[in-house]
Amino acid sequence: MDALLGIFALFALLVIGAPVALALLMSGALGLWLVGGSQLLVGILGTTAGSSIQGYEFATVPMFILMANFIISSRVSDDMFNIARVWMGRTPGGLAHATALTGAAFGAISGSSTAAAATLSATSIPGMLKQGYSPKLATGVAAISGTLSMLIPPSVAMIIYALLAELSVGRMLIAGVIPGILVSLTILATVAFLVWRNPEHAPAGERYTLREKIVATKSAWSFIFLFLMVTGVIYTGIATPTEASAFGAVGALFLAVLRRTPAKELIRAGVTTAQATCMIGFIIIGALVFGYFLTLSQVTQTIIDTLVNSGIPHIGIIIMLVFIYLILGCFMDIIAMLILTVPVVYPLILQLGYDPIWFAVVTIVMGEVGMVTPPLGMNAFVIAKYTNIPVGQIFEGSIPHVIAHLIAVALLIAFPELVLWLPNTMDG
Amino acid sequence: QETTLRLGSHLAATAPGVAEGSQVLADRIGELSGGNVKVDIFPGEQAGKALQMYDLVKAGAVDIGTVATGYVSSDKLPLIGVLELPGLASSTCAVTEAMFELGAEGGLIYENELKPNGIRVLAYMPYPPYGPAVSRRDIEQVSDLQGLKMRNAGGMMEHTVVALGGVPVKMSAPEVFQALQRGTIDSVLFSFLSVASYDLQTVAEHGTTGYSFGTPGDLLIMSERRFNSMSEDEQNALIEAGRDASMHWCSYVDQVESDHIEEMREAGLDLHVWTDEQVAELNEKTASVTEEWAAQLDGRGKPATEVIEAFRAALAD
Amino acid sequence: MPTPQTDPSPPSVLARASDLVDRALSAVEKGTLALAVLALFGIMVLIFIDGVLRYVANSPLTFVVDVVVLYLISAGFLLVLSYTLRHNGHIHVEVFADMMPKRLQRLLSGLAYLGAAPVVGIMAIEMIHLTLESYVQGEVLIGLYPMPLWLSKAIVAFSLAVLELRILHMGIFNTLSALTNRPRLAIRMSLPIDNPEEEMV
Ligand code: NA
Ligand code: NA
Repeated sequence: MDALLGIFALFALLVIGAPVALALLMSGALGLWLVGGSQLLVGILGTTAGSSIQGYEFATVPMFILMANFIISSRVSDDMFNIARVWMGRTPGGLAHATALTGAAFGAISGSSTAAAATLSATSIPGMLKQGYSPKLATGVAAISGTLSMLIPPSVAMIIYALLAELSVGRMLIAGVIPGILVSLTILATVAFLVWRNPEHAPAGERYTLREKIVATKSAWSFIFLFLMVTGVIYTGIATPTEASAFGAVGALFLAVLRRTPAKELIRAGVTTAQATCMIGFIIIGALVFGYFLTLSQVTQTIIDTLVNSGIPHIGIIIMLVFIYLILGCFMDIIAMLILTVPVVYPLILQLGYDPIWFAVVTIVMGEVGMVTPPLGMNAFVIAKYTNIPVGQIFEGSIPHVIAHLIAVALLIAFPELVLWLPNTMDG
Repeated sequence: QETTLRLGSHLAATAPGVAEGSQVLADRIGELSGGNVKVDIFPGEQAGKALQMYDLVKAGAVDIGTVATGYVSSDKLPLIGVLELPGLASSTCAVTEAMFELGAEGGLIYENELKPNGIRVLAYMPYPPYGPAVSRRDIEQVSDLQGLKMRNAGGMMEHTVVALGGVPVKMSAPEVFQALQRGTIDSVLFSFLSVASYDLQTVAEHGTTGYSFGTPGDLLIMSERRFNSMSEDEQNALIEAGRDASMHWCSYVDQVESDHIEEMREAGLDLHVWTDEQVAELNEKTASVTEEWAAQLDGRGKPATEVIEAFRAALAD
Repeated sequence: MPTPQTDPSPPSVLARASDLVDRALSAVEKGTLALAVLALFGIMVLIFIDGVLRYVANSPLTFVVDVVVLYLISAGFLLVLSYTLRHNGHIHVEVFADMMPKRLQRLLSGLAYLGAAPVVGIMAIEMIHLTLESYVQGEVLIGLYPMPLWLSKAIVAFSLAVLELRILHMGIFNTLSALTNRPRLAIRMSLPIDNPEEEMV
């Protein structure tokens, strides 16, 4: 009964639009008070904020966000799109393919999905529209390609998952590499399919000579440099994820300075990072308090026992979870989605005998889907704001990609090795 | 009437510290109280982060808390830091017995530190003596420690590393494997119990044993307030169960430790056992560490010098 | 989009009081923002230098982990709690709230903040208590660098205290605004969507 009241309070507060962190704090506090009285409540409230984020690995969160912000301020994504565009040349739907490739490349050096969507809508959509692409095709591919940032390392969402579930940050990030490639290919295939069905939606682009292609590729060094500095370093174990994140931020700062980014922009990157970091810090504290309530009221164990002993085959429970994530993704941001579900889902996955890193990656891909599904698909809104294209059209343009993503998720569920093989080749 | 106590731990449910420690305590409390006192264990930081456990116990949010000695030896319970001093311990059981002598009612640590803080230690669960258990570089002489980058758990062990001419490095335990493999560190101050659980003997071919660089570990603590709220029979059951659990833990880890050392030596680990002369040399070089610790705490009004003497005497028994 | 409601009457005493509190808190928040940004740059620089020294010169900076964990992470994650709340930076689920009439929205948000006040208040007071205790006991890190532990707690306590004031401010005036039907009294915040690049996750 106490447990139900706490959970009900959480949903009520979320529905009226209270900040997720405060909703978790308040409902967790109510629940703890019901379970253990004021002593338990005051004890936990008084000590959680001071101890919740005191760990060296937490530094990866602001460092990767800072890195993403420096990269945006350096406008290096313009170069990346240019390379992809020139190489795609007259390929049918060339610019749409180039958008997906730029999304993947940008994702390999940035950990933030909305940042990627904003960047892509500024660099790729105007070009596609000018060339006569259908707005649905153009915005749909930009919206979904932006989400690759969360799957391809570095990824702030994955780091938060690892920190919440106390998984190895390094292994978690590396686990995103192959699924990231798979999902990138999925987007390319979806684009090819859409262009094949409606060639008029994607008129052909210009032809470029090999010489022009090579000249354009010259600027790729900065991207390769940053990628090696972060993911390369983590995979080979040369440095810890914490160190790699700081190296990445310094590298991105160096790049921004080299590209003559004004100091004002760099400070702005810092301010933006402080705000995003704090948002995450607050929500982690709220999640911990609520998590203590879930544990101490035994609600987590009850849910898990009920499911495990229900006779539903384990794979059925996994599919059910994927479906729940699809629905949650419609209404909330991926960070909120992770924070609210990981405390229950992570122990459940362990008890079902699956690898938690594998399911974390599946969850992240479902979170990507949520970024482009109505009514609350953050990337669709970002693009709508930048391009003045109605958000409904963008959601429509995303539908084929959502379907393709679900197929990719099915593949990841059927073949966990796609996720687990690469991190298992890491030492340690 | 049945009482249920909440026991919180930062250790995973499968960790030896739970299976051979908290769980033993819980079972013994059940037996000795004739089933009147039940203990619910919340492992894996489910009831509170490692850093907040001491405060949660004091506030009454958790009844029994697992507290890592390294987290309280700086601020809350500095005299417990005697466990981090070099050259004192021989075996885990000897350390456990000594801690009971100092930490039980009337003992130096109890009267000067636990009681004023309103805290009672039910069980002591130190790890086997730490040392440069495995190393990438050969260690045969005390002078071989010069310039060695050694991962340590911080606190007084940091001073010990410096006193021996090494370079102290701080990193979380799960990072040690890769750091050792890549040469980011040369050696790690650990017990062989930890070496085995992180598989470190596979990435470093040398090792040492025979000199304690400290015996950090976990304490199972309870607040005096909660303790006094229980009946006398229940209190006696808690005290006895705590002692039983501690002794079970120490004999378990002492056995496992020597098994590990034997297995690793057989598997080809180049293990150096410090000679008596070398132990004397190590003691001489690290004497300043113990002096500094005592001086610092004496200055804060804690009888650290007395505690060291009493601890030495108890170990000698 | 509903048409923005205008309030032609001159600002009341209440409205002026709200503005005054807002300006005072905003000044403090601006300071916390500067400190938080400095802390983040500090984390970047310290970890970078530590790493370079470790790999290139074989001599790590032993104090970096402690400085980052004890002070800079707390500062970077928590100092701007209040600033972020004021600028609508804490994520929330908007879909359902946006379907409600504006006045009801203000009432519910005001009541939610008032409900959060005791919770955050307990957190702040307990943390202040722990800070003072640590300060009086002279707790320092036992290690090569005896860093004061109270300062670490003080950063958290201060962040929570400023947040508590902001929550009280927004709770009281949003509730009053809804009860008296004066939109002018509510704390106006920009929607996060106005600045998508700043959402950043
Ligand atoms: Na990424
Ligand atoms: Na959505």
